[in-house]
Amino acid sequence: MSWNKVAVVGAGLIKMGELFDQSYEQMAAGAYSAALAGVDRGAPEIDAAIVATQRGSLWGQEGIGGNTVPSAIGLSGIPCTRVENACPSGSDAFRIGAMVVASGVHDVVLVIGVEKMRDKSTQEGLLARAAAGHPLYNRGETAPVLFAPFATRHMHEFGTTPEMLASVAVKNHHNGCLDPYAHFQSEVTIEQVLASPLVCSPLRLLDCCPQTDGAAAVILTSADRAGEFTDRPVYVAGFGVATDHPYLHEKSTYVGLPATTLASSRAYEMAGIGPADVDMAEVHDCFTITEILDIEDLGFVEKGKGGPASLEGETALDGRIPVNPSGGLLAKGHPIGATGLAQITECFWQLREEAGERQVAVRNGIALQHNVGGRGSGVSVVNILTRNR
Amino acid sequence: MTTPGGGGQSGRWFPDEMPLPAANAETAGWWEACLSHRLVVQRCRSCGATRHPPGPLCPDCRCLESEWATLPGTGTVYSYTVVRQAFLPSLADTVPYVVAAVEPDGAGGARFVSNVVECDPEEVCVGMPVEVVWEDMGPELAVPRFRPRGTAGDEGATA
Repeated sequence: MSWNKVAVVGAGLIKMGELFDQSYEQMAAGAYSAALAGVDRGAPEIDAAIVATQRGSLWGQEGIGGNTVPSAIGLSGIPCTRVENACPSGSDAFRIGAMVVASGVHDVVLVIGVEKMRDKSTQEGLLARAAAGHPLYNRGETAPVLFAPFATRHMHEFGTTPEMLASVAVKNHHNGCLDPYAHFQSEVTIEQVLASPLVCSPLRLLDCCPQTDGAAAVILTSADRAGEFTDRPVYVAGFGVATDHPYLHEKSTYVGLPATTLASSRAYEMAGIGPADVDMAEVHDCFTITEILDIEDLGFVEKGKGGPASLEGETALDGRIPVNPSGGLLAKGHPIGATGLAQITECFWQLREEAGERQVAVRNGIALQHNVGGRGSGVSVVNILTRNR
Repeated sequence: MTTPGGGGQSGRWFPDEMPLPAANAETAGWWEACLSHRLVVQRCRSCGATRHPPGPLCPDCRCLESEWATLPGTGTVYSYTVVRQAFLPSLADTVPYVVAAVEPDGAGGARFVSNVVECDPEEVCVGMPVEVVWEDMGPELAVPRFRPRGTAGDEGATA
């Protein structure tokens, strides 16, 4: 039996990209009004908000804790808390929002993710932060350096090839062409991916997601009240979170992310389903290798088979298990705090069969959303959504 | 013969300007051993389990007491990447360089993330036998790097 105590009644996002012309608060307002516009009827009165922003320190948001958001969007006075939990910040904010509603303390909760990745240059922003953190092991690291050794090891153990990695980028860029909210909307070929510059071997430029500004929001209420706002709510069937050793030194394996396996097994158990029941998934493809690890760790394919499955189209829009129909982080972008909520929005649309040209076949009415992050893979969050009451 | 702890082979491969690691209370003992060119791993005083990075408590038996066990300084490459882009301006003249997870012999499966130096980056592979070399970055900091075992001219290559 699915958990189903809480429902999504509205969701929306702004066009992702390099949004130098919008302030953090303008982006938040855009996402909030998109989520409101996604509510079929009535005007939900927001009782509380949870804001997901992971890189607030990049533009002076480190001390304010998300509290500029309610003021900026006409909700001054409501309780508001910022969640910062690495790359899954948005998905964890969603999970926390669902628990807040389920607790009965607040009836209608806005969960909103906002992230500005580009206002500061890479040197001043992400790289300046790369010199901080663990005093011993974290001097000057960047994300590609963290994920590339996983790819090297996956290739060594399972024969995964650069073409298999590239096929993930090809698929997600294709899907991005069908998503009006995606940062990138152009096709790439396997040849183009393999001809793009090496960043950290074996990862090339087109194996990597971009730095993207963006915002997304969802409106949650109790399953009992959902009918006030829509006849087609999407319920929170289950969720799971797990941590793992964040540093490469101490990881038990390089060919899987155990936090994802653990988080998904918790979510599947809570939802009373298994991976074969999932119709589509939005997963964390910060790099092509990450999606291959994800689909194995989430149980969609056997360990070691993620590369061939991707190359053979099993995860395409018309494949056995469509993965990242929105374009994923690779094409839609990765505005960190907003990423999970943008993925939830895609699942909401797919389950309501409102995804237009990129609509997948909905058989069981179940979607899965996943993020992993924190020095590569220190925390993973999985949320499972269903349209079945 | 390889000297216990890796001996005194040393050189310079990375620039002074790159971000340098800093010791804290938990890792000070590990860095002190490095300063005397001794490769060590933290070992639980109670159950003998090794762990890296150094941490406050044994994850196996929760004992708070630990000691520094000297390693032979040899090991194998578990995984690696060749960094081709100078993310940091200070490393502009250093790329391409190899970042590798090395399994040091005698460390009980603990892995050290370091660099493989003194070889063509294209020649690094999973399973490559390596040995520690020391980079003195200043009077108070020596960083362990690794090079292929059997590097020409290395008298201690056949440990």
